[in-house]
Amino acid sequence: MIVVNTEYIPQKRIVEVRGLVQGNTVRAKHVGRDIAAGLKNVFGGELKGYTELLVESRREAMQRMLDQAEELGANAVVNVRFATSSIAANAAELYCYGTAVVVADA
Amino acid sequence: MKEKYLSTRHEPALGARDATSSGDTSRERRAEPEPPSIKTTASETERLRDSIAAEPALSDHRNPGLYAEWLAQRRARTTVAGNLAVTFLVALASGPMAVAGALLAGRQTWWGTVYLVLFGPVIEELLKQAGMIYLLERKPYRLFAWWQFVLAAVISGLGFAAVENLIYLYVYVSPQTFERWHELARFRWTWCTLLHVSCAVVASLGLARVWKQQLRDGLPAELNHGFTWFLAAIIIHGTYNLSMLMLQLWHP
Repeated sequence: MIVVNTEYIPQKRIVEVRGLVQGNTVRAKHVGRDIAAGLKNVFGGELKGYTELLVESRREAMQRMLDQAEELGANAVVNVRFATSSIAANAAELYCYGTAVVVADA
Repeated sequence: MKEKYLSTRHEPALGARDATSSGDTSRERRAEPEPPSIKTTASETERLRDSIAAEPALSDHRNPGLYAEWLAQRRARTTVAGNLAVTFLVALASGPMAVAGALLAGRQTWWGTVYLVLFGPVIEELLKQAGMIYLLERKPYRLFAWWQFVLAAVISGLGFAAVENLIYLYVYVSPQTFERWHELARFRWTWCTLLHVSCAVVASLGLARVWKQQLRDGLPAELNHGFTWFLAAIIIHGTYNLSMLMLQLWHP
């Protein structure tokens, strides 16, 4: 599966558009990590627990989007975008979407 | 404003390529290696986390076994004695830490009853396992058997009960007679201690489950897999607190 955030893929041509695919997630770390991040906030620096949370959320949302693309029989997703929203405190909300397409060599 | 915040010299995205591709000597100077203003040294686990091997979008580079390989390599470099010593130390620290956490969370507030029955058990049961959660998330290669979690739970449960008993007997409670104090002491050192150890053991079974899942999937630990066991420990602890509260009301 080719995944790009551009509209076209070099040396490939889009032969069919299968539709909009998307994946989202809302994740949180356990309260221990929140307490640790709260303490770290006092002294500054990277809040590693939350970095980890974002990485996990991004990958989960991406995986869900790719599962949809596979379900549609696509072999690429173009124009991929990420969006965030705010639903709960200390939680990461990630939304990932793109256009599932079938590409062939140009 | 400090130069380091304005200069492009510290921009990771504007590396040496800019300088070498032009004849501009000032730009070459700009590209001279200098320590970045933001530290970027990553630990082993952070490098694993950020590796492209785990990116779903880069299917050609995916390597689902990377974490499991790392875990096996690191585990081979540890000894059973060392692992048991680490387990013992983190478990020993968890008990008193749970008491401190419970005290800081505000036992003496207006919502004391709600705290005793609901929030207290949540905080205490989670903090009793804090050391093992740390190992599970940060140093999983130190874990080699499920009974490590149970052992740690017994130690942290005993530690927690000991500190809490001492606080109850010498700070909180001032019974009128020595007999009453002795009765309370006996109760605390038997039933209360047993409760704290039992609840910690129940919660530890959840952590053991998380650990087994980690081994099976070859992925970093996901604490939510042990939620049911934590919930069971919290319910047992909360029910005990509620019954003690009722008993106090009926037989002051």
